[in-house]
Amino acid sequence: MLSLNATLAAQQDEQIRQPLMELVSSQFIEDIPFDGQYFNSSTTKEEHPSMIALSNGRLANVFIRPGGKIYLIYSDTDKIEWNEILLKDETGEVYHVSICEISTNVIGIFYVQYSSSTYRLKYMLVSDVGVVNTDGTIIESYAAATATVASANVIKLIDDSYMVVYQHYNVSTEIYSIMERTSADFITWSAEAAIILTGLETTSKKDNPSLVDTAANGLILTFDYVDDIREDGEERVNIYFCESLDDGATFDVPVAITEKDKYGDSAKHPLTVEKLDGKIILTYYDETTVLRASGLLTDGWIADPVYGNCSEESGSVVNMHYDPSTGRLYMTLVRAAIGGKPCCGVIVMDVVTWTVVRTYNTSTTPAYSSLYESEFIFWQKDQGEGPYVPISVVGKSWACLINDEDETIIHYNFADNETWSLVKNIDHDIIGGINSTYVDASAKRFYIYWSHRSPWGKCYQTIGYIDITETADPVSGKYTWHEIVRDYEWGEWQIAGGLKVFQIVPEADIIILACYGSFGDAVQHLKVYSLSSGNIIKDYNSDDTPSFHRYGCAWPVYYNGHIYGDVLYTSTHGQGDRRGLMDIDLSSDMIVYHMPSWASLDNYQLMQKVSMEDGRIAMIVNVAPKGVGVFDSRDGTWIHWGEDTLSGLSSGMLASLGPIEYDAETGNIFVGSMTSADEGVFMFNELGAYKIAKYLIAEYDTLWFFDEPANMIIGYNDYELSPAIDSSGVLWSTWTRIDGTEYSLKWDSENPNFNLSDYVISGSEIKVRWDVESNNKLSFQCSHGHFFDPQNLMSILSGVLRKKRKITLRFGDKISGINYWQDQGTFVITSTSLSYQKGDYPIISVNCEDKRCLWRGEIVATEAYADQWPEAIISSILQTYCNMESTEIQIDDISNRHKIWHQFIGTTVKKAVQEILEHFGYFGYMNVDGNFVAKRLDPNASTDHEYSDLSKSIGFTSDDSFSDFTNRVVVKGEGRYFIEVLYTQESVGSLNGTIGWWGEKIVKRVYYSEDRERTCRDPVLEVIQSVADFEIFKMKGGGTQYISSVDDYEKWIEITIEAPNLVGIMIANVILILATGIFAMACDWGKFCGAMIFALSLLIGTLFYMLGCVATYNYNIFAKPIGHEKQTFQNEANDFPTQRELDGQVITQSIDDPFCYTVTSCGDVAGYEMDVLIAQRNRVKFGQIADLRIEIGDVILRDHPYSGEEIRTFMTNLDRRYKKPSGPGKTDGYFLDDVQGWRQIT
Amino acid sequence: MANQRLGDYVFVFNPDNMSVVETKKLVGKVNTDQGAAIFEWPAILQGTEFVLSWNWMYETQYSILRKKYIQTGVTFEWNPQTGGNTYEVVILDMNGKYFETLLHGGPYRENVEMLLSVNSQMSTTTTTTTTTSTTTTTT
Repeated sequence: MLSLNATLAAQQDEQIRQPLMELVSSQFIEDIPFDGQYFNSSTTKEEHPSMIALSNGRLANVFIRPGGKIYLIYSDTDKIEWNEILLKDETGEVYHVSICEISTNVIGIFYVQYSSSTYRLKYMLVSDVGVVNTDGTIIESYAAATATVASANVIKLIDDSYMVVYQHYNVSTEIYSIMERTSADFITWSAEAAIILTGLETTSKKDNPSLVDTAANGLILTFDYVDDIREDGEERVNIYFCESLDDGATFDVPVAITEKDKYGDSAKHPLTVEKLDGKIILTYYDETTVLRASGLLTDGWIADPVYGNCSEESGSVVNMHYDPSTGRLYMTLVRAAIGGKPCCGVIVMDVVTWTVVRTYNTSTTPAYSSLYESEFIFWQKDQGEGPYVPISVVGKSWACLINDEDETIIHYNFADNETWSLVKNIDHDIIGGINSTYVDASAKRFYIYWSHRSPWGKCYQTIGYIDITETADPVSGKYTWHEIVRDYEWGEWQIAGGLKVFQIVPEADIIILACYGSFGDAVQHLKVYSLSSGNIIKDYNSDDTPSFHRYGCAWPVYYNGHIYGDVLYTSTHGQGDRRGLMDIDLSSDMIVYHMPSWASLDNYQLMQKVSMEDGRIAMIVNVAPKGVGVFDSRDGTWIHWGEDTLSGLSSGMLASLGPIEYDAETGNIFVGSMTSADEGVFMFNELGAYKIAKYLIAEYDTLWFFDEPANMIIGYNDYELSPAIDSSGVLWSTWTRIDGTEYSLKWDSENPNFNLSDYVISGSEIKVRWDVESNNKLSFQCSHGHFFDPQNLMSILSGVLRKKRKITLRFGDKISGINYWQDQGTFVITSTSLSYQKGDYPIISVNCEDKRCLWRGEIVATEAYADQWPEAIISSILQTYCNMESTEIQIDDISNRHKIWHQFIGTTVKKAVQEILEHFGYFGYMNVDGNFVAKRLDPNASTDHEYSDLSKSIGFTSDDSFSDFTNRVVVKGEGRYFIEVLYTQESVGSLNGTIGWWGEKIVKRVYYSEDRERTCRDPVLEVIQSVADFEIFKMKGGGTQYISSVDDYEKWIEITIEAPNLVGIMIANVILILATGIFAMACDWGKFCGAMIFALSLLIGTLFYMLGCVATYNYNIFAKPIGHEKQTFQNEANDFPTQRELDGQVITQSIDDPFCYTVTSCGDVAGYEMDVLIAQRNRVKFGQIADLRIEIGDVILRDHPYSGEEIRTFMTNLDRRYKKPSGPGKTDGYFLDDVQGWRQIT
Repeated sequence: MANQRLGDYVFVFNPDNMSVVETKKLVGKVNTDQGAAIFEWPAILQGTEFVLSWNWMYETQYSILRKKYIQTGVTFEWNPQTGGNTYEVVILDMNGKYFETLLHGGPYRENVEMLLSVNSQMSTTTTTTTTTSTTTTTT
């Protein structure tokens, strides 16, 4: 039951109401920085806008297109729609147009026109809708050989006169001045006068002057000024500020309000407007050639869980790739201290906003194994693609793959690692360790290159892949290795050493493996294999191909049938003329060398390379002059960007360069810096400097005090803002945006709440729905659909009903002339629909849901919650995954709560929260204040509101269609602890073998499993073949076998097998043989010779038989395997009356509940569910006059419409419908509630 | 009563019937189980519709009014010559029938109806009686 204002609450009981409705559109994020909208999709260049807010409510914006064309874009007085009109098609070109209001409906335009080597200051007067009143008229002309003028800015002063300032450059004296002119009527202008700027060099450039006449304190002049200029022309530019208290006759000493102290780092184009509260907003843009991001500069940079911030520990970007489809840059960082190079994380940056999106390390969710924090992660060894980031341990057998799209990490372990609990999950017979990896995101393959230098003078190379889409075998947990190349025919020193020697080129179906170096003075190879077959295609070496460099090729890159790589200079072996970039034509095998043009060196160290996909190759140059080099294969030319040629780069940043990437769409070049002092990543654009729009707010208090600068626009290609403040105090701005080579105008405004109430169509229904089982929903229809159409770029309102906007709804009552309001909640626009059809007025239909519609994102794994109250877990999940503030989560202590031990895996926020609440018999919803609250789902709750009669009731329906015949609920749960269990006896091992006659006693240990980890109890020996069965052994009683020992840890038994000792018999036999033999030697004298010989042969035969005989044994071992299982609990609730009514039939519903740790808990949950099932059989629906006091979860008491008996209903659904009559004189309006719920039967 | 004016045209014949132009309250009435609920919203003028009807008129007047009817994107000031307000109106619909007579040579229209919607109330004006403007407007 909601607590309303007392007057409003009382009004809910009245029969005559005056309903109120308010629908407001706003956005969830801060208005500034702006993201902006284009005025059109034209590709014609648009720039130099000048915007003002007119007193009649219109916004007027003039700008220039090439060929001297001045355009006006203006809004209607309600600021709903933009209109564009060509004002002037000048001869030659027009520069720097500026605008001010002359009078209601009249605009004055001041501009600089250039033609026939002459600059001209001109003005024109137009109406507020672009009708030219006075055509372009020359104020003064300047011969370009004598002087230039530029950057005009005109304003209307508080005394209704006009003043213009502009840059003036005297060609002969080389003096830069800021000139001013004044006019009383915008037609007759005074002679120009130079503004005296005390303390500034006259010959230093001053540009982009602008004025604002403040009510707070006089006239303010701002401009940009070249503080210093380097010999190569690089400038250091700052914004200066000065004031005049005598209407511009004199200005005080200019002071710099920006602090640019590096060449090539400039602040330009200030423009100031005064807000209604007297503060001023000064907009400008930073122009910088290089953007950097690092732990010291960028929020969200990864924090190494072991060593602290990567940057503080000299974290280096060692592997990097750019995904053009998402605009994300992926970087793997290591701690670059001396010694080990542990991985300290992976950073995902959004290049458009130049901010960190996400990080991965051992403490994030998901996390990779701590193994990667303890082993060597090497430079330029792991090449990712798309959302995939590989990490591998160099020379070892472990690699993992991050999928940033799904936010998952798979560990591929080619060997066990006990320290970090990694279990081998790929079977293979590869010799060596991982050298490099490569991801082909399109083919979903994770390639791994293995290398090994054997002690027998051979190098082994193995290449294969893992299918990224493969899931581990459910039984073995293993993945499959697909081998492509196994090449053991490399010489001892022909190992692919160095960095980034392994390239997969799917589009050419090849694998490149390069060797490089002077190890052992060996002839080095570059081999090309077929990616599909693994067959070797090319084997370049100086023995077979004399033009190939003897010491091989490093950092190869493929483009259009050529491989380009660096060479290591040597004057020996006839290689003296080979320097720079080796260029191998794979079709003709022709090899040439391209020497960079920026220096004459033996070794250029042309390291990491990337194809720019247009015939150019960009590469790291890691020897002075260090930087980035570009070789253009189309004409053989070179470009070098270094400290001397690209301001913004420093020697520190260039000291040790790592990976390089390129975005062909924008021209951005990304370079990972591995320098300890200037770690991180930097980006520059081949097309020019970045422009980052900023603003400063200043307040006057005897002086103007400026706040810290902040970003005005998201991105780094937006400049020359023209801000305007409308009569409501809302800040509007237009500016020039560079998209690659295209210049377009964009606009944006502070987004004050937009009231949609007057646009809601009379006769259409606003419907808001609350339901205990689903998200709150809101639907409505608005007129002016063509203006709200998100696809109508010329509409200022096109963003108001865009998907993802926030809608706030209020209902209320007008009581005695006063409006009383009650919030109905906040919603997110989920869909809009609009169609244009001739003859039909365009109406836009809008559907919204509450914030829970954003809770559909998958949670890979939450933290493992242990010993936590349910409210705390819900709060943690919502704050972690939904960016909700703690104040937005208002859950009182759950009445029957108990602590929870659980980790949610592979679920969604919504499901996780719902699971917890349902366990306790609660439901959650977003209340009318926009907060998440939970209520007990109690069909037997006490009454919240009672209606004394049926004067407000509209109809009544019994509806048990949602119910069934279930009359027993069984809930199963598991205990939190594992208990030991014994499984049925089974065969757990076998033993067989042989034993000799000499009294052998052997003890055999038999483990219950091959991995020697399985535990079993109560072992039993089944003798299949006993040693006692051996006939010879029977001569001495036979042998024995028995279990002689059982492992204390129950992993093995020992079986002792004993054979009888037949040595005595053997000796007796030997003696008998000897005796018989001796006796037989003299058998000539008697007749016993033959018998003796026969006896002797028998004895000898017996001897040999005994010597050779062994007994065979064969045993089977049975035991009871020991396992550990969580204890299972179960309890039930019964609806006995229904069971009786169904003649004893029991219809059971079973529920598995992960939070039931006890029998009692199972019983509680079963009871809640049974209550709901019974309640569903008593479901009712009825309508009534809207009552703003009620909400779902309330219990309403009203009368039955026929019998008059009391009906107490737990409200599960509430639809509130508001309709204003469809027109004057119509009576079809209403404001009603449709209630559904469970009738309490007590 | 002086002749009414729509935009720059002064009627030769005033309407024979005319509904009153006045604000109207927005109301909703819903029957309940034991009574009724009444919902009221403030009275409005914008969007209020009214009808001007003529038993017959000259074809000339009909043509002039029809030209105004088929224009889009424009509103007209309507002076009902009731000694009170004038109104900014939009012509929503117009209908008439052919009406040939023996006694008069020119073509006529009969049962002419014009449906108008008020956009706003304009300032109070003085009643004018310039019937001679007919000639001007028909030329």
